[in-house]
Amino acid sequence: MFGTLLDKLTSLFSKNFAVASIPLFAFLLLNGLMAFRVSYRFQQWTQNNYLSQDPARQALLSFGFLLLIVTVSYVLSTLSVFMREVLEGKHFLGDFLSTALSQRFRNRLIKVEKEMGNVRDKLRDLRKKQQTWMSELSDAYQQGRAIDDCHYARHPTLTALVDLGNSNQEITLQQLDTEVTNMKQDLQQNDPELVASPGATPQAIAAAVASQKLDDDNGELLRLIRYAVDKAQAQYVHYLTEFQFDYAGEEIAPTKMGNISRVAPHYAATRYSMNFDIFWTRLQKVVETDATFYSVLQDAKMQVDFLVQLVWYTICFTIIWAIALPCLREAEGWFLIIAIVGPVLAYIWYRIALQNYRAFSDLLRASVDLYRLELLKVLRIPLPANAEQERLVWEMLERRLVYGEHSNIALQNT
Amino acid sequence: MTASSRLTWIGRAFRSVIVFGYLVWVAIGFCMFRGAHMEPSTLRYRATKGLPAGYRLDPDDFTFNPLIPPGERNRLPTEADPTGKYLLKAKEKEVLFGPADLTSAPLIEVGAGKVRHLFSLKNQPELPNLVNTNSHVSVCSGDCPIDDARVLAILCSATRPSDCYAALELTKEDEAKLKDKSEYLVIPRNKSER
Repeated sequence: MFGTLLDKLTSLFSKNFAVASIPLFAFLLLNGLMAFRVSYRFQQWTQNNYLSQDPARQALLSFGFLLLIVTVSYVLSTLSVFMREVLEGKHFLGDFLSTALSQRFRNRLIKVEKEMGNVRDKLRDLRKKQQTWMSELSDAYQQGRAIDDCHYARHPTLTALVDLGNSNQEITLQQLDTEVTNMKQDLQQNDPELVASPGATPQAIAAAVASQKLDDDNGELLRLIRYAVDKAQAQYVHYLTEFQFDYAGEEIAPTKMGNISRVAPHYAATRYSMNFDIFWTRLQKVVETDATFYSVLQDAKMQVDFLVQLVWYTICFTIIWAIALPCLREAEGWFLIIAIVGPVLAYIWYRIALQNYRAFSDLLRASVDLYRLELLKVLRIPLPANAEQERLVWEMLERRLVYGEHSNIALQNT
Repeated sequence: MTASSRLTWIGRAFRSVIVFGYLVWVAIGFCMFRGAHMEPSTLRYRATKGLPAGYRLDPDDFTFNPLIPPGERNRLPTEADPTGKYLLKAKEKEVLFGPADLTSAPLIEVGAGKVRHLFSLKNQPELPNLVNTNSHVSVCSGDCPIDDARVLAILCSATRPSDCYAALELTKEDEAKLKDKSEYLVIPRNKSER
C-alpha cells in the first residue's frame, strides 16, 4: 500500500521529494492528532468541516490538504541545507561558544591521536617481537626434541594469559615476553614430541602425557601471540577509522555532525589540493554519468536529509507540546510521554543521521578519488603526469575560477 | 586553569544548562498539572448565552468556572458534567450556576389549553443540536399541518444518546392532525419567521 502510494507520488514528484515529505507529513499529522486530543474547538472544527462532510467533499478536502503539504514541503526543502548546517554548528553559536563547544572534540581528537600513536607503536613492537618469539620458540622446540624426556608442568601465568584471551582482554607485550621466556626454557629442557610405546613404564607414560601438554601449551602460546597482534591491529583500525571518518585533521567543529561534514572537503584538499566546495557542483555533473554510483550517492544524501528533518521535527514537536500541554493543563500522560520520549527519539535520529553522514561523506571522498580526472577531461585540462603536478593543476584552477587570476591554463583541443 | 580546560568547562556547562533547563521545565510542567487538579464538587458553570428554564444544556451553552481543559472534561465524574441536563430556572448570559440549578429530568410546563406531544427524532439525529426548549418548529410532510409549535423540551435516552424526542406544545386540534401520517419531520423555524 505504502509502496504503491510512493510509486504514484514519485510519478508526480521526484523520489527524493516524495521521501523528504514524509517527516513533514508525519509532523503535521501528529500535531493535528494532538490538537484534536486537547482542543475542543479544533475537534468541533474538524467535525464540522471535515468528518461530517460527504465522501466526495472529504476527498476534495484531503486532496487540498495534500497539495498544501506538498507546497509547504517544497518551501521547507529549501531549508534542508540550513537545518543540516545548524546541526553542524554553523549558525547561532558565535565564535566564543563555537570554540568552547569545539573543545570537547579537540580533547577527543588529542586522545584519539595519542591512543592511535600508542597502539601503532604497540602493534609495531608486537609484530617485530612476533617474528623473534616464533623463531626462538621454534629453535627451543628443536633443542627439546633431543632431550628424550619430559617433566613439564604449566606455569600459572600461562593459565592467566589464556583466561585473558578467552575473556577478550588485552595481553601486553611484557606478559607475552615473560611467557615466551618460560616456554622457551621448558621447550629446551623437555621433549615436546615424546610418545609412549605399548608396554611403557608408568614414568614413560607420564612423560608422554607431559610432552603432549607441552606441545599443546606451545600452540596455545602461539595463538595468544596472534591474538595480541590481531587485537592491537583492531584497536589501531578502530582509532584510525574514528580519526578518518569523524575528524577533518586539526580543523574542529562545535558538533559531531559538523566535524563529519568537514571530512570530505578536508580529504580533497589534503590529498589533491582540490577545493571541494568549489568543484563539487562541477564534479557532480561528471558523477552523474555513472548512473549506479550517482544513485547510491543520491540515496545516501536523501537518507541524511531525511534523518536531519526527523531530528528537527521531533525537536519542534517536543518543544511545542512540552510547553503547550502544561499551559493548557491538558493530557498529563501525553506530556510525560512526549517530554521523555521526544528528546530520546531526537537523539536516536541524530545518532543514526551521524552514521549515515559518515557513509555519505565516504561516498563524497570516493567521488573525488574516482571522478576528479574525468572532471579535468570535461574541463579540457590535460591530465597531469603525476600526483604533485595534479596538485598544481587544482590549485591553479581554483585561483582562476575563484579569484579570477589570469593564470594561463593550457587546454586540450581534442 | 589552562585555556583548554576553561573552554572544556564552558562547553560542558553550556550543554548541561540546556539539559538541566529542559528537565527543570518538565518538572515545572508536571507541577502545573499537579496544581491544576480540582475538586468537582466546587465546580460552577457560566452561561454563554441567555438560557430559558427547562433548557437542555449542550457543551456550547456554558463554560466551566474555574476553566477545565476540554480533554479533562471526559474525566469528570458524570454528576459534574452538566451536558444533557436541564436548567431549573432561566439564566442570563454570563450568570454562574451550579449543580443545584440542574436536573436530570426535563422540566415541562405546558401552556393553558395545550397538550404535550412527544415527537420522535430518530429520523433527524442532528435536530437535538439545532432546537431546544422554547425553540419554534413546523411539522411538515410535504405540506406543513403545524406551522408554529413551541418546543417544550428535548428528551434523550441516557443510555442511547441518539434516541431523542422533541416534546412539542400543541393544541388538541393540531395533535389530531398528526395522527393521519407517521412520516412527519420537524423543521426549525427562523426567528424572523415567528
